[in-house]
Amino acid sequence: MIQSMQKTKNRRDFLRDGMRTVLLSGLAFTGLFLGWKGYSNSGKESSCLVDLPCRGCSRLRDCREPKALDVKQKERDSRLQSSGMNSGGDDVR
Amino acid sequence: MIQSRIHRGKIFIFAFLFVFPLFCMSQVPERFPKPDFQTDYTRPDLLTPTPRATALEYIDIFVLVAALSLASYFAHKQRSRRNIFLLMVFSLAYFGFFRKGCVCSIGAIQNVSYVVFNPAYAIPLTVIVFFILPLVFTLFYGRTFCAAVCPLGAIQDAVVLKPTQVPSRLENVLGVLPYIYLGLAVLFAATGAGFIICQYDPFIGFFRFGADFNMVILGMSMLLLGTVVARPYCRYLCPYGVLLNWLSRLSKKHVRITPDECNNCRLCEESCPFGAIKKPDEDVPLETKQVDVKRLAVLFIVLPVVLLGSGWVGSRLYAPLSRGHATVSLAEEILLENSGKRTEMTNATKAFRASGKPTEELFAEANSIQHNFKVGGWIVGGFIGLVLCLKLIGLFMRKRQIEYDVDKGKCLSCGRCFAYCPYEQVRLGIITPEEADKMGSREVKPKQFRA
Repeated sequence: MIQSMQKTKNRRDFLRDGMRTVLLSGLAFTGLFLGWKGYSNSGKESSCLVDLPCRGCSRLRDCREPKALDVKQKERDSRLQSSGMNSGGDDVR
Repeated sequence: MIQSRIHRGKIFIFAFLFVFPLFCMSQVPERFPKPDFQTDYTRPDLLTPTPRATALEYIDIFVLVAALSLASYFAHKQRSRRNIFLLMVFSLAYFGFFRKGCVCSIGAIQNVSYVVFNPAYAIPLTVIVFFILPLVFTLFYGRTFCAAVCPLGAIQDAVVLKPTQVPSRLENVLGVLPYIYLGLAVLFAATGAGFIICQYDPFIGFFRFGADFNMVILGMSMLLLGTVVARPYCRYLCPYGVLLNWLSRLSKKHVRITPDECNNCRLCEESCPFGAIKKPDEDVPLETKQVDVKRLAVLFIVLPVVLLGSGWVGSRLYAPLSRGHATVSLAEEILLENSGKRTEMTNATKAFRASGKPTEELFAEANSIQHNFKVGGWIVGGFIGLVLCLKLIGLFMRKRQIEYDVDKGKCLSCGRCFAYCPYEQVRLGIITPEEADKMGSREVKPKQFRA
């Protein structure tokens, strides 16, 4: 009786180990697939988390979205422009 | 002593959770001033917290990994309920109140479903980790995530004051609800209708210090219920719990009530507020076993019919379900206005008409979404039918059980039962092995069962 229970337990353990390995592989595959999806889509318009103006967004610095790149470019331009005006002023002075 | 301290702490948390929302019924903080368009349109408030800087998100991942590791260590190595409780309070403070309940593993199900059906969506790394990591830990150590890391579980666990056992029949019926909720959440996310888990999260109002009035009431009711029925959301609604339940059954290591061999002293019998302790088999008469076998055979025969039937019912529900999608509801409103059944325009229909988009295009889009709901309804309905059948099969299948042990699927690894075991007291050096042996009938009962 005890022997047969032991056999059943071994069989159950074997099946459980097999299932666990399959599930772990599945989870690893899912993680990699989702990671690849996230990375490949991260520069696109769809990767924005909230539909709000970019200015003030804490992610703006690292964001590669076209809209964010535009905002950053504009900010750079305006900074250059203002520094140019300032330096121009100094020259005059 | 420890139990009474935890109890006093819980009463404090309970009082805090009920009094605090009354002071915090303020709206979600505005990032930008509301534009003045001179219309009667009121801008909806933000439903989610604003995104964090990428570097800070890595901190969240680090905290999650550390919390999961600690929870598993406390449950398996230390077997310490006190440490599990303290970690749970930390998780409630960090993932709940500090991170405002977002990102969370339960909601991540929807992001994953959405990305599968919408290839253009960029799923954030944090969401992937929050979805996968608790599942991986569960495969190794059981549901330690539920015990001490999940903020939704923590807020409910903190108010468990006088738990009562739910009758097993009612428990079995209510146990189907999480599967239905999971099916609907995946269907709504996959079709782009919305993230209903986040929308109807009853505790988010507490975490964000402000929510819709109805949701605050729902959250408070859930907490009130939670004082007598332990963790009602986790047990009868949580869709992530379904996945954790499945994986926990296959876990490599799982917490046990006793650190030694069970002596069937029955002291732990009523210790679990979640009804997750399996009792040893009672002597079942041969006639009952034969009836069970017949019922099983009938169930296997009707299984395909139930699957098809429930799938059909699911597909028939496409019309009311698809109204949850903004495009479908807009198309229906436009249709009503065009047919003259409604004379007053809504904000949405006004905006649509102002956009100049042809109505035919909108109707085509709505039809396509309804078709998706019909197909999804078949799958979700079939899934629920399968779950019902498997639950019934589980009721008629008898597995040999010779000692008190946890139900691996239901057990949340909270560690409440540890202190009830006399051999745990021996391990802690509180009583001697002889005293523990006297409490049960170790040398007689298990062997009697095996014979």
